[in-house]
Amino acid sequence: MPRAPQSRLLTLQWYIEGLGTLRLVVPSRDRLDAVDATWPVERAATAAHRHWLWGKLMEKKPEQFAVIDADGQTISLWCSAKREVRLEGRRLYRLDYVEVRPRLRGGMAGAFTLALVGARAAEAGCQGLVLAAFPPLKGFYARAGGAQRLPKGWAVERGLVPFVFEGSAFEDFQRVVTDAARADDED
Amino acid sequence: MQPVRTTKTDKRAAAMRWLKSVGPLPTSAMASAESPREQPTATSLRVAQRLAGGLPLMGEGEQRVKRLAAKLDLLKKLAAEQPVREKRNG
Repeated sequence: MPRAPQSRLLTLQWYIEGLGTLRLVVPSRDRLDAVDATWPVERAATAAHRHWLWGKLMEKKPEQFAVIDADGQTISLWCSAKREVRLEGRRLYRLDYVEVRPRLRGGMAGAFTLALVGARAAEAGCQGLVLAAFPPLKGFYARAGGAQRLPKGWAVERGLVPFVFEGSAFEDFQRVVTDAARADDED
Repeated sequence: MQPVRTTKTDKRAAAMRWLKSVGPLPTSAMASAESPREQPTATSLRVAQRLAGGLPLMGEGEQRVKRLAAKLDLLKKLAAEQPVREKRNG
């Protein structure tokens, strides 16, 4: 069983329009069971990830987080089997799996989750973020500042689209997460 | 000219503008370490469907274990009812 990840982000709160006050936690087994009991039916019948079970995806992952709302409901989840990879002479955070609660994908949950992953990457000492996206997300990642390219030395599964976030796009993530944070004494 | 002071409210508004500019997700899963062409296995689909339907998980393996446990129970009962005859040599 890998050790639970340590992060300063676990101590913060954010206020996001339409979602309310959000926090980051390391997901418990009960939380993952609850997600696996509710999210599959909310996914599109044709979704490539319809069969995902987060209880399985998170197994033995050293890097695993959940974004939750004020009621404790899970907003999104992400995990990585290996936190970072060294590519093109830089340390990049490797994002393996990430999903927003299907019925919340129309709002800002996706963008905020991506920004949080970026802030986590920076906290872990990485200089960028790499991921393999499902093809319909190309526009989403391009709008977030990602570069659609395959860094030298990295491979993605067939049918997925490689994206790299670095430079100002990577800094945007940290800025958004810092600026959206609530102070402890805010109502 | 006075320098413009950026307040926490301004920064928060800018953060919200960035989030809005990125827009909604076309699909809930945002990244994957596996190929989307990879078909789900019969087991993972069954588990997902049973979980989604609130049904208890019971696969073939689990049913087999239950059948074996029932058989073992029966054997124990029979053994208790019938004293074991000792085989004597000579």
